[in-house]
Amino acid sequence: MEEGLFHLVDKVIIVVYFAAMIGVGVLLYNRMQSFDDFLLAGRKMTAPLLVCTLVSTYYGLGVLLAGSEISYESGVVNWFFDTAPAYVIILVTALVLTPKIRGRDFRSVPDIVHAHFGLPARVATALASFIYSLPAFSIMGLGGLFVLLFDIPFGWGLVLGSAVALIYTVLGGLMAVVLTDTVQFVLMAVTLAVAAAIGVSLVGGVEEMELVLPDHFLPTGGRPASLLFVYGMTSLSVFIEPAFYQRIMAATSRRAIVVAMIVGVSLWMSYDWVITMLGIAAHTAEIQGIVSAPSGPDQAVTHFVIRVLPVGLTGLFAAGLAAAAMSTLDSYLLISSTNLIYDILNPLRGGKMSDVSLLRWTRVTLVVSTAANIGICLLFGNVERLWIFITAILICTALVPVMAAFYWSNVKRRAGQAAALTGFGLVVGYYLLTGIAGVWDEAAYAYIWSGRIFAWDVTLNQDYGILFILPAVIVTFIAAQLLPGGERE
Amino acid sequence: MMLVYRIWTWTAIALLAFGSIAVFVVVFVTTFRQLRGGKNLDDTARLK
Repeated sequence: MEEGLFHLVDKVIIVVYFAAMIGVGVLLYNRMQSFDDFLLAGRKMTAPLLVCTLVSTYYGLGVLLAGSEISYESGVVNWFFDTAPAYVIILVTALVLTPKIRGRDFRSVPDIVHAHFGLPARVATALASFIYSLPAFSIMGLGGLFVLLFDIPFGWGLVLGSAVALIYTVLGGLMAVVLTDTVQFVLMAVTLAVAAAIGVSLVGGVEEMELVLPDHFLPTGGRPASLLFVYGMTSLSVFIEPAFYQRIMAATSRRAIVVAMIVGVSLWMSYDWVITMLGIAAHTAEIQGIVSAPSGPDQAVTHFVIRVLPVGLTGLFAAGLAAAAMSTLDSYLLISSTNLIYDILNPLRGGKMSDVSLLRWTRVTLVVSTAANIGICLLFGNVERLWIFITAILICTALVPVMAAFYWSNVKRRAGQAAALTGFGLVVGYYLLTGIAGVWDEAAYAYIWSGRIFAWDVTLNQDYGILFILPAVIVTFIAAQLLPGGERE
Repeated sequence: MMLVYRIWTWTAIALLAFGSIAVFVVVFVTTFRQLRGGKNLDDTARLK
């Protein structure tokens, strides 16, 4: 994307949007009477609100950019293998796990783990959840958008973009997050739908796209089965996704959750397919000479859409992009701050923090988390590959203890602790080993470490760690459960 | 297969645009009624 893409009208639309978001936080500030009001919106979240917040939280700028990049390069495989497995898991979670998650007065995933396996397992799960919830990609996307809009340095773009989300989240907690998510949800959905209708028509429709790029319409996209399997496995994170759990806990009823999931999945399927078609349309338009080549495949859809939309709609689309980033950023900022204060600090102090103290310190930590995220963005510059790491650490640390807590009666405390600590330790160790001692392999598009472990020559691909760490965690859990002795929960 | 892709593409576009507006209208009405102290749409199922 180049400078000068936005008209003054577009910029005014975006400034009005940001002001409205901050206004929501200001309006809700006096309604935050307790920590439950702040963290779980007083547990009064209805089905329509749940739909908006679930759909918009999951569909951040990361999904939009990554999804459009994959579909630009490989086509419909993005929909069939990167997103479709998650729909199944979301529906299973809504129908099967909801009664367990809402069974007791839990406030977070570490709460569930602590109740069954004690403090060490809680701290490991809270740290995994904290790492998973770092919204670095959203902050980077927002920073980049501010650079384009207002022609300011990237660092200031990061600060200004995240400051808007931070202000209304600090003031209004989850209710502010949910209400702003609602506006953000409709903004991003409608602008993408309009952009897709114009974009697909402009290149001659789906049939023309298939004539220009026939391989892009193969469901497997020519990818190796092992890679398809790894991407499918990252969908397991939905089983223990912190934002997902928080919203299930905050809902008014189980019926509200099931309705929200069914409506949400139909919207997610549409959203993913529309992005996939936009990615292929952008590539087609480039081959047809309708638009110039983007600076990178991740920019393909935004570059294409901003070129084809008229003034005014471009501003709404940019606001939709900001909405996609902010709806994810605010939710995960809230969760990562909760992980540090409610899930780690409060239990370490013997659970003696008062409601007022929890509320105040969570608000303070929101500022600290935002600052830490801005630091990470400035330090690393590109966090796209962070996705598999943060998903792996959450799945390997929390999945086995949480499922055991729900479905294994008479489980031993040490089994859950061993599983959580082993998962956390192995993922961190594996990524350090492959990241620091490994070398970048362009063909594999991953860090590869080759060396000897005991008597064996071993080659490790950084992205494939989850394939054997998760089974190792399950074996550790079963061994700790079967060995004699140990306290049962 | 291309016919399925074409139908699904336009269905997805329509669902995304009109579905999101419909949900937004319901949220707006619900929140407005809540703020006026009126009955919430999900009051019957409320736990607290």
